[in-house]
Amino acid sequence: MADPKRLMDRVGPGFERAALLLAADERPDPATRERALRTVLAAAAVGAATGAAAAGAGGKASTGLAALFAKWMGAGLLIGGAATFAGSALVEPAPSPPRAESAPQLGAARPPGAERGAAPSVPTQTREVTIEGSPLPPAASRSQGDVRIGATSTLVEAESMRRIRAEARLDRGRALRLLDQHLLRFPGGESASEARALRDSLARRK
Amino acid sequence: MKMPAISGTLAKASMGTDTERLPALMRDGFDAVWRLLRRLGLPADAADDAAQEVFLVAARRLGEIAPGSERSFLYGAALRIAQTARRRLSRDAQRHVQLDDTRIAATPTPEAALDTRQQLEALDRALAALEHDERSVFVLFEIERLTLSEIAELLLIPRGTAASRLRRARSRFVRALRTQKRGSRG
Repeated sequence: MADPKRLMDRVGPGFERAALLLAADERPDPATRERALRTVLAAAAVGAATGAAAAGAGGKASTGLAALFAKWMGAGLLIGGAATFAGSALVEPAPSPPRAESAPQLGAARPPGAERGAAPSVPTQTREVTIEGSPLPPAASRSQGDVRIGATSTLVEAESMRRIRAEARLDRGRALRLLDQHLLRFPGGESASEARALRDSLARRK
Repeated sequence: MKMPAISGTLAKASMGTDTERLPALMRDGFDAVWRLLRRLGLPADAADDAAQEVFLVAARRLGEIAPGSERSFLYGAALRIAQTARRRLSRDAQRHVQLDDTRIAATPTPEAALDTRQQLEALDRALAALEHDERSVFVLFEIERLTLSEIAELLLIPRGTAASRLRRARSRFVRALRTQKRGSRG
């Protein structure tokens, strides 16, 4: 049985057709897509590493499988890195920024909207998670210091941006002030373009 | 289920390892999933979150997704997640302030951007006049270009039911859109 002709395929002008064509052309921000990609890949990497670790603990790891070995290495790196980061946060609480420790944890992909009232989800990736290729670089290519500094800076910036997005829904003036502070603090950060766009959007609103 | 126009990337990813498959799935399917979520009634920022959630689900269950049925899986997950998100949003509605909610590709002039935004807002208001079941069928058919058989399979309903929902949805949609147009002229 043939399907009816779609409204947007009908010939001639028409308000319905025009609106549907526009809708079919609407796209998310490329930045949104890339952020989601990194978050999902980070979550998948953590999941794979955890799974591999569990398999290894059960004594079922096949020594002949390079992939499994790679996952093991990934698990070790992740757990070691996370432990170092968490340990340093507990033992030597940094004087600033105050909310750094409450930032999202590495790879702990919160289901978006799990806390709807708080804010939209924020990617929980670190700079070590790449889009192309292996999500985890070889251990030799990074030091513990790199992990801590890079991750903390990224997480603080992401946390700041998340807070601003939440404020933007509630208090425009406060959101604008926070955006100014954010841009001063992270002028070349990953979220700088989003912050500028949001600032423009809020500034235009009366 | 055979779904429309999957790209070469995704087709190749169907046969690749999980490491290759997930990024390809996201690159190829993210826009469509996000667009579906938008037309199912989620504001842009909520659609961002929900689209990410769809792919987190896909990442967890990648091994269960049969090659060739990726898009079907993604749409199914998107429909369920959109329903949950809409319920949550309606609870929180009073706390949200509407920001500039449309994501419009570069337009030549500000007037064109405004026109596009107004048309999309009118479209969303007309879609809001539909029942949830009708809206899903309408959006999948008219915007995402699935066939009625594919929609029936996705929603687990007979094809005839999908066809009758589409008829009702079209009628309501066109009426709602034309009423708005008359209102804006008058």
